[in-house]
This record gives sequence, C-alpha cells and structure tokens, in this order.
Amino acid sequence: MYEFIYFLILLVLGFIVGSILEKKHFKSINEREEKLLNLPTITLKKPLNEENIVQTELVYGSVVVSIDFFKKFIAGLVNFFGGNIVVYDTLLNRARREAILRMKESALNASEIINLKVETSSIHKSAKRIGAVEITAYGTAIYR
Amino acid sequence: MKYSAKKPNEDVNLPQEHIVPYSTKLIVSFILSMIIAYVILLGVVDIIIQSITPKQEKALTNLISKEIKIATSKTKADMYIQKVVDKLAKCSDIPYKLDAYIMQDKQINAFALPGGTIYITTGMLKIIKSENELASVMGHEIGHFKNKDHLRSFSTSIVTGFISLFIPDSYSSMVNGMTDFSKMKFSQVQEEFADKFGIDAMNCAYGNVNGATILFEKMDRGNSELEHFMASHPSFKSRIKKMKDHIKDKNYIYSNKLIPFNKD
Repeated sequence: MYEFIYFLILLVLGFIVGSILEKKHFKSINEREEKLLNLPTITLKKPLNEENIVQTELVYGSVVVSIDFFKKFIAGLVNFFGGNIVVYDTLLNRARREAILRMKESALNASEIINLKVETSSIHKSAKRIGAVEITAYGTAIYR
Repeated sequence: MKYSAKKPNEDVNLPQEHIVPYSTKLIVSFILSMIIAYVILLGVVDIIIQSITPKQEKALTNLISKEIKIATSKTKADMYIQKVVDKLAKCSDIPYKLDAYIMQDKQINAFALPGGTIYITTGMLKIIKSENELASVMGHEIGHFKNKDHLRSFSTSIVTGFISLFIPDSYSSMVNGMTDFSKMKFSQVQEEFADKFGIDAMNCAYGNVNGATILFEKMDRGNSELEHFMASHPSFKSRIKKMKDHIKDKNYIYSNKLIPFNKD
C-alpha cells in the first residue's frame, strides 16, 4: 500500500515540477528565438549570395533533454496500447529548438548559417525506455 | 530570394490536447481494460475448474503434494485425527487421500494445504473438548477440498500474475500488493459452503450433528491466541447463524451428547 502512495506522490511531483520547468524552458526558447530571428538558418547547401564571404565555419549546438516521471509513466501506458506517444512531443520540440538556438548563439556575428542538419541520439536509462534525448544541430556559418 | 525574419509555426509539432485530460482518459481506459481482462480470465478459470474430472483433480493434487514435502511419520495422536478425517472423507466423495497432521503451535489454527494435507495446531486441540468439535473443524476443511477452493485461489494468483506481466516495470510492485490480498484467504461464500459441507459430512459420518457449532461459538467468544485465526477467517456470528439455519433446514438431529475427547 505504501509503495503505491509513494508512487503516486512521485507522479504528482513529477507532473508539477516537470510542467513548471518545461514552461520555463519554452519561455526562454521563445525569447532567444525572437532575438536571433535575424540570423537566417537554412538547409540549402550553397549560400544565397556567394560574394563577400570572409570566413566559413562549422558551428554546432547540442543539448540533452529529459522528461519527468509523470510523462514516463504515461509513455509506458501508451506503449501498452500502441499509438503516438503524445507526451514526448514537447520534449523533442524543446530539444530541437534548443539545439538550433545554441548553434546560432555560437555564431552571433555570422550573416547566415547554411546546410543545417539536425541529428539525434537517445541516452537510454534502461534497455527499454528513453531516459533522455540528445540532439545535435550543425551547419556552416558564413561571415561576410 | 529574400529572407524574411519569421518564426516557424511550431503548433503542428506540439500536442493539441492538454496533458491532464489526455492522461486521465488514458489511465482510466487502462484500468478498465485490466479489470475487464481480470474478470474474463477469472470467468474462464472458473469454468475450467468446474469441469475438472475427479481423475484430473486427483492427478493435480498428487502433483502438488509431491512439491510440498511434509512430515512422514505419524504419532498416535496423528492417527486419531486421521481416523476422524477418514470417517468424514468417506462421506465426501473426494478422489484423493487426505492426510492429517498435528502441528506444534500455540496459536489456534487449522488449515488445509493444496495437495490433500490438513494441519491442526496443538493450540486448537487444547480448546477442543469433544470429538464432535474436532469433526466439525475437519469437516469444514474437507469442505474446502470438496469445493476445489485451493485450485481456485491458486488459479487466481496465476491470473493476476499473468496480468502483471503486461504492466510496465514500475507498477508491478503495485499489482503484487493486490495479489497478496487474494492469495490465502477464501471468500465469505467459500467459507460458508465449507461450513455447510462440514455439517453434512458430520451428519453422514456420525448420524447426527451434535456439537457442530460449539467450537465456532467458542472462537466467537474470543481468545488471545485466536488473533492469527481470526485474521484469515471472517466473522463467526453470521457463519454460526447460517450453520444453525442449515441444520434446521435439513432437520439434522442436534443434541448435546458429545463423544469425549482423549488427549495424547
């Protein structure tokens, strides 16, 4: 009986704290995206304009994001029925945007970043479930 | 081509439904499907158990009794208990041999193990003053065998164990908590059936049901060593009443002439 109550407490705690942290992260992401809007990041292989290029540089941003206990529990249940694990959507969204932002932040003076690629690898806590996900975004920064 | 600074539309990548109603729906449907699976499986198990032939029951029981190694030699006291059990067993049409043993224990208890073994503690024997009382207890235990109650509780734990296979890791501890409940206890209904059967067996073996309820009334009055027994057996008052009603229905002879009980 006590194990069950302990489990419930963890769930609620995970939910509350996880939601707070997630909101904070999204807020930070939104703010930084606004600031960096003027740095174009495209997936084209060649720059829009090949003149005046002073320097090109490989830039990358990587981040590891994890989810809370509550989301893991829900994901476990969905694994039972099958279908989209909706709760992981926000996780991946945050991770991707954060990685791209970090990449941009490492090339603040660049005119543009081309050939953007995003790659992911999951860090498994146990063989069965996704404990955290690591996303790397990289591209070529062009300085004019 | 011109670059216009615009944020991409992220809405497609984010969940459309808020997480709380989504999770509630998910959890509720999960619990419901577990309950439905449990009920269906139990129903199936029940049907199977009812259609086990005596021969199969005998084979199963022998299988289980081989697993449970018990004391081999019997004292004179054991033999006396065995005689009473045999007398009652003859009337009950059970396809396998029932073995009775005395267990050295201050606590008042008598129980039947799957495999056809009945144990009665020295604590219980101390408060028994007549053969009739002994017969009522033994009859009750034989009743459990007759109704295949052990097979039932065995299969219940199999069903719940089976279901817990499908539940992801962290909650199997939760399920184990639930399985413990259903393990060693027989339901009220099963106990009452065993009571009724005990009375019928007594009537068949002795020609009367003298003293059938005395032991239960004694236990109802309470005793410090009874705690353990009381924990696994439901309230006595209603059972005693039901037993008395049953006696009245079947018009059994009930007097206070009791066969004395010699202690070894």
